[in-house]
Amino acid sequence: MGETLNSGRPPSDHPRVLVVDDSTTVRHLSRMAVERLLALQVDEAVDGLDALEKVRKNTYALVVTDIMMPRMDGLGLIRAIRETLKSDVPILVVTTRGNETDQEKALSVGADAYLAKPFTAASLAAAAIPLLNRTRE
Amino acid sequence: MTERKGAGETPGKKDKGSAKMPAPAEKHLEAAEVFNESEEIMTQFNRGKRFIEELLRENERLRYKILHLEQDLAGIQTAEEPVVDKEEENRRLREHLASINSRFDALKKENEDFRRRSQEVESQNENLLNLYVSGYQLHSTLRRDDVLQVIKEILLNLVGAEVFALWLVDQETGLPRVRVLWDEIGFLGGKAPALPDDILAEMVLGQPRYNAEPGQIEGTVQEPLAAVPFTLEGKTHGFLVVYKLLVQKKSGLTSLDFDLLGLLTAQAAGTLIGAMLYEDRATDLRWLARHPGKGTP
Repeated sequence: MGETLNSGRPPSDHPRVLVVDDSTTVRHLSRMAVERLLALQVDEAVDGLDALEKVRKNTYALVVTDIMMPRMDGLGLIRAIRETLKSDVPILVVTTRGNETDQEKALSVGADAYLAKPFTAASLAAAAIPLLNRTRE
Repeated sequence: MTERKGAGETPGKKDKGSAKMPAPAEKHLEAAEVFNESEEIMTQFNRGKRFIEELLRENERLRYKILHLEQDLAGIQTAEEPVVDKEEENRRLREHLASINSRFDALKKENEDFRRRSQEVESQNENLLNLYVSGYQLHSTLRRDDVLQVIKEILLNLVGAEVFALWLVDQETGLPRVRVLWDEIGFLGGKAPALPDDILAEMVLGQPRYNAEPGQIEGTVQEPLAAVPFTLEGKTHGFLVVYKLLVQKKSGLTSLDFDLLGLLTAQAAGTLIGAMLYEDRATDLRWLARHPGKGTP
């Protein structure tokens, strides 16, 4: 099963996307979407702190993050990326709540776009493409 | 002209010195008659001349007119043929246009079919991907709590359920017991309500119950959106109940969600039983390790 999964992965020199979510199911679905539909490499982080460490060490074309996570939530991660790391990496926020408050908060602290759950692989890819194009420019 | 010249000569001058001389009165009369005759002849002649001249002019005019008519006729004849040709060409073009329109309509219909099929395939791919991820995650652990966590994640993130409860049948009492209650908004007041008897009976029989209309995102305690049993080998081991969907899930429960819930409960039943057996076995092994030589607990 694992080999089947790995066989469709893009080459290691392709740009990388960091997927941050405490749900293994969401990370799995996001990985499938990014690898299969966008042909990009994926790194995973289980919470904001884990993600921050990875952003500090690696260069990413995009960060896809959940809001509600243990230790450091998505809003804290975005603030740290923008203010502490001074990074302008595109950030796509995936929100569980469809209300505008979460989305506005995320955008106000530096997120570039948001996507409401439940999402499909295609909708994640569609939301990520404009941000990836901005990175390429 | 010769006639005219002769006629213009006066009789007196003509006969002067060569004829017998008539009496003066007779001569005068004769001369007058001759003069009159000549005058009349001249008048007739001039009239004839004018008539002939008019005839000539008329002839000329008619010839000119005939020439024009001939030219017009020739023009009409040459113009008539292209009209016929153009009508034919027009007819052929119309037929060609109709043929193109017909092919265009056929291609448009075909294109629409392809678009619809492409959407269906895309939708099925999405379904398969979600089902694949769900199945993969469900079978990725043998710990009951992890299985329950995966079910919760699938319901939250893939189905878009906002309020739901998961019940498992207690192996000792045979009664359902709430194992997961997800209700962050207080829709159920912090406690999972017991299922109405008719729905509970369907759960025992292994029949799923869906009350979701398209676009409906909220059910009631008496009529939840979905109640799906976990069955394995004809026996119900538990059930999940969805009361409310996330507000952004405007479509309500779709066929994909029904597939997901069906797969979730079918696989979850096996996984949960497997996890419980594994945990029981692990407990036994731990007991045996602590009490060597005492048999099974």
